[in-house]
Amino acid sequence: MARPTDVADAELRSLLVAAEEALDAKDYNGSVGKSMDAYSWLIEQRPDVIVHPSDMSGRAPSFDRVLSRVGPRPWPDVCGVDLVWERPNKPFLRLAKARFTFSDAVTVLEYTLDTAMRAQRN
Amino acid sequence: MKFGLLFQLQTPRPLDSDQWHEDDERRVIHQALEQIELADKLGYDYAFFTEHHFLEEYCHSTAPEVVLGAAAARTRNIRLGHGIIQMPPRQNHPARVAERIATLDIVSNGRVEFGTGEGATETEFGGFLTKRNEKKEAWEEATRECLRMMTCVPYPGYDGVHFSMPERNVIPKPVQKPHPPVWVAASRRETVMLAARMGIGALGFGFESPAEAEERATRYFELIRACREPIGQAMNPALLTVGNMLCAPTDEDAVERGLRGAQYFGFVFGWMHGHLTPGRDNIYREFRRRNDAEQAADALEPSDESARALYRMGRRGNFIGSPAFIRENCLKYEAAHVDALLFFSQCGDRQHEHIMESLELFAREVMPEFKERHRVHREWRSRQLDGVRFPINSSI
Repeated sequence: MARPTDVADAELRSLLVAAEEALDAKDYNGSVGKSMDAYSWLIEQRPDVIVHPSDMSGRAPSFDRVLSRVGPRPWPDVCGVDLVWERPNKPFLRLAKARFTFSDAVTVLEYTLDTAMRAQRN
Repeated sequence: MKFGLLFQLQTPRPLDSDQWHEDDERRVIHQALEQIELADKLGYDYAFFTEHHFLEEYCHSTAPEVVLGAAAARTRNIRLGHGIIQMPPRQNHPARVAERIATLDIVSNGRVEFGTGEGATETEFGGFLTKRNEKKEAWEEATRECLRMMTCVPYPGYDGVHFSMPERNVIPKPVQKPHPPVWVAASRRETVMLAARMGIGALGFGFESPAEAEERATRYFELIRACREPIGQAMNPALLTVGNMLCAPTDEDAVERGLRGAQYFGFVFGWMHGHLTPGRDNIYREFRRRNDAEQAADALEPSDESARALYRMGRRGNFIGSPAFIRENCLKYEAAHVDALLFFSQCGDRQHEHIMESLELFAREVMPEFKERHRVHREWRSRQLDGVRFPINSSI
């Protein structure tokens, strides 16, 4: 996996670098905010790399369901930021809590970074 | 690269009844203990037990500390791991976790691996009224404080978001100092990186491919070197991944003995994430109904040999096969710098005798060369850890 500084697009890179700097400064709310900005940029610019939850759950239970875990996973909805799919192809991020911790901020940053690198490779 | 076993105590309901027969759960637990005892004698390095709640058929390992205690009495060398303890305080109070971990460490003469996690399904954490949006932060808070309880004399007390307690000395203290190696369940990439930033091991429950594992290892160790505030007083830099394993003399034997159990695992896993009706679903019966129907789909296998091999491979994963087949895939994970592979062998309706034979065959024909090369891997690890300025307590 890459670092924020490996992201090619200047705008996206600056958001992810800022997210990591905020994380290192223990500003977890700030870090989550920057990661959300970066992911929102990806939603706008590269909707093709945004994973819809039904991409994972639509299959009938089978061993394939287990093997399917090795691919891109949907947005981590356990960190207090929800990816809302009110319109099928235009999701948006919404805060579900006011205070974020280190693990919340890392999870959101690393997921967004991974999505950015997938966009860069494809 | 090291090897271990992972147990969920899967207990399918019988076909001829809506509920389990009287002896079913007892049989599964005691067979698991026999398998661990054999694994210890054969030189397997780890036996981990999961912790899930209310996930009928999928996992009846709801009190792993009890079974691990029994395993400690029957073994000498194999390390005994929680894969994992659900740390949100509504599920397990951190003081009780510290007490149980330390006691198991004493009973086992210092063989505990402290795996932690937040709980995966709504059925589980919802059963304890833990909220989805808060379980990760609850895990973080509880794990940090639990580790302080194992090392502080006395523990000064804590006024937190998810639990509070006054000053107390939490006893006993563990044998392993400052505390046993710590892990976190990491079925997602970002959790592996979170583990690195916290200085703990990642239990890769995402069935990663070798390519994925290698990609993660590079970034993981980079973040380990950069870690400035480990969650505990010692770091456990370690990457582990999981696979479903059944070893038999031929590929055909292995598929016949092991494939259905692996498919059932996938089926009931999917069921747990959406469909469960407490006390009323016979998931195994439904699996057999659908699986028997799918056998007709074998007629749809590609006729081209390489395509057919890929089709079958996709259906059976990397570790259901002959020793030669499994060895080839283990080599890929070794090349990807995975520290340890954990094998699910007990799943679905697999026969205990086949699992025991599988453990012996793998230990005899595959494991020795990896044990011999482990010192090479340790030299690689040593280079990765150059510059780490915190104590390291790792069984790798």
